[in-house]
Amino acid sequence: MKRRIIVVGGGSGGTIVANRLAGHLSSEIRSQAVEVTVVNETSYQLYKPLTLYMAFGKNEESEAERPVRELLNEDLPFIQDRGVGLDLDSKELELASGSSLSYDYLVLATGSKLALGRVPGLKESSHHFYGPKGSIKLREELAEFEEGHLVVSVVGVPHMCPVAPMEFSFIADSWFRERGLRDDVKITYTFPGEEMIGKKNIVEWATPLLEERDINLESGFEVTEVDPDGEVLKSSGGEEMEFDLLVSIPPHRGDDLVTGADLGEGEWIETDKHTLEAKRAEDVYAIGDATDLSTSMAGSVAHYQSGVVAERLASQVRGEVPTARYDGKTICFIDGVDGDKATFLEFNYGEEPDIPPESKLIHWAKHSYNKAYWLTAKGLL
Amino acid sequence: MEELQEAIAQNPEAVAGFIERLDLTNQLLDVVSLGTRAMDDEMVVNLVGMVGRLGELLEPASHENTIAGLDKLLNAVAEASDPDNPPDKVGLMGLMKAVNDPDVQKALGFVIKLAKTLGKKLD
Repeated sequence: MKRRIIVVGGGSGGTIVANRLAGHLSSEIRSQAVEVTVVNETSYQLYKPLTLYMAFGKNEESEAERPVRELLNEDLPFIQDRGVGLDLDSKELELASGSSLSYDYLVLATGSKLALGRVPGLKESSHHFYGPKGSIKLREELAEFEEGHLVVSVVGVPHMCPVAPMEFSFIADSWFRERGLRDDVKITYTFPGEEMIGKKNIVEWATPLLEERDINLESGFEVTEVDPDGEVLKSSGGEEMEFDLLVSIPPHRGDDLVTGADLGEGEWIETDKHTLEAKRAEDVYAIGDATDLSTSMAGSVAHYQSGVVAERLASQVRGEVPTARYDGKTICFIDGVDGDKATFLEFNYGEEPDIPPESKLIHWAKHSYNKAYWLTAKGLL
Repeated sequence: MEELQEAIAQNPEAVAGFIERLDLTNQLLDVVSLGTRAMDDEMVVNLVGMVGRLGELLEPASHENTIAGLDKLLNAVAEASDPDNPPDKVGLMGLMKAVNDPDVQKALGFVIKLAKTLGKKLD
């Protein structure tokens, strides 16, 4: 009897796990003993790290998108549709088109989405760099912004790429400096917690660098409302901050499919941190932003988790005991210091990263990887 | 230590130059460290496999006749795929007419020779 694996999501995690499965189970797939199907709402994949650079005119939308079909191994069926319902008992995925697919194993790589509507006034008054449309609009604003108060505000936590607001602040600083406008542009970076990020070593590395570049840090600023007419940010502590250009890191939400299926307390899938199995369902795995794990919402996390899930699934399909475990491996670049320097961090669960000094070579490595990323999506690198 | 101090005193510029190069060396080592930390076993095996397969392909592909032939072929593909000048639809009559074109005759000769050679190699 044919074993069916369905991967919901055609982002980094979804395509990597599917392509890795195609490698592990190539003979089973060719003999039609196994079928691995990918379901994704759109026909293309967006490589999200590039949208930060799009805001500064360094990358174009066309560089950040590729058809999912082109990224997937040719032996894997691809269905462009949206998963709208899950029956975890009868193991069926219901699609928006009205049809349904039965599965033996399910991988949920449904990611996270922006939820600007959760904070009154945020949608009307802020820009963001978390998608091509938002980044291109922001690029137009930045190109015309010559003086005033630029506020980079972390409104929602957790959010995709925890270091992105820091990177945006660094790049904005050098962008205005290069144009001779830095004295006329005040930059403030606000975040809701006491620290800008959960890792002590990153805070210790970034704080002096941001301060040296006259980027004001405003901790404990939990945005509850934005006044679009008065251009004022309001916090839960009753503080107000005026801005001329607001770049927000909006709240994020999980996919409706996850919420509807009651796979977690909130909108994130309750997931075993090592096996990546969904805790509330049989034969369901979760990877990437969709999980409730304390790891970063970063592409590298989805990447390393995909390898683990593919190995575990291959073992299960063959009737072997799955042994692969995810240890929390995360790799992040922090790019944009003085516009052309970067560093990187690597850590596992519970570890503090070592951070090498920022350098041009690491910046080049980051941009080289951005170019080579599609090899990763194809499961080749 | 004394020897080092003496060397610095005698030639401070050379020592400063050396330290500058050490900085660059350290940056290079950071990139190497990034590579080793980012890669996992499967990525290394995949990468080496891909490079290996590319190497096998590159051996015949680097022959000068292959390069010359592929260069012409790729340029022709680019020109024929120009979206501003798309190819006409051709029926049987059009095909008969095209066969009289000396350029098409040359290309057909190449395709037939290619087919003959490939046929021998497929044995």
